[in-house]
Amino acid sequence: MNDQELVQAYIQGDQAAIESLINRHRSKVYTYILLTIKNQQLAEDLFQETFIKVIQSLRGGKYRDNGRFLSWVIRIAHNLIIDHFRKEKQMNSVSNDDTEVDLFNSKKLSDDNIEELIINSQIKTEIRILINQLPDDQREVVLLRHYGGLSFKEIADQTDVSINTALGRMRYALINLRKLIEEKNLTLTVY
Amino acid sequence: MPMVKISTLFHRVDGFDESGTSFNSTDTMDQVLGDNFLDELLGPVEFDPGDKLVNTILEQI
Repeated sequence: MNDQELVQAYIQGDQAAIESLINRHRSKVYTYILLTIKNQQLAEDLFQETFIKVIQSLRGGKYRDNGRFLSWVIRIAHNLIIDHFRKEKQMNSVSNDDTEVDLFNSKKLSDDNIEELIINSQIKTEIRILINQLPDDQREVVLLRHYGGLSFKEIADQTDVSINTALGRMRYALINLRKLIEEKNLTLTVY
Repeated sequence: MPMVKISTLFHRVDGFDESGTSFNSTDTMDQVLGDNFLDELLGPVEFDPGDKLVNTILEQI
């Protein structure tokens, strides 16, 4: 069943449908949140909040299906992240920068042997470091585009800028990433 | 060789007025290349939240 069919099934009372939807998209949504906020505990909380909100919205009939369920979920996650930082700013709380992430907590790696696991973890770590070196506004565009599949119009709406600004941020992000890869002499191919 | 004069003017065909729209093929190409680059870079980077966390959500339904 595709996303649209699963959404319809859930709305009509099929509880297993929402489980399928969450399992299908959980890694992309979680990775988007984790790479955005850089804190594992907070990412887990916001991941939960995101899907609770998704479920509430589906039950409340607030989802207008245009065949892009994942983009919708990522937009909800993005809004919750913004809400969180607004609250945090008001409370003037501590830094969110926590690089202690469980790199082995990956579905994709579950069947790999230890050596591959370590190599993959190193590559992931290096790429995470690259992404973290981008300015916030450029990282935001990159993550919304890649993990959420948002169009530049949607990114512009979501981040409250013009399409040209969103495109420009992506352009600079790509230039910066290529430069960093060259500087660090990284090879992108995993195998 | 005889010189051939070629008009470089494009004439609007009725019903195909595109003066109000803009299409930049360079931008489109940039987006495709950018997406491919990001797929290559971020393709291997996916973290899983784990079954426990997902089950916690499902229990709340």
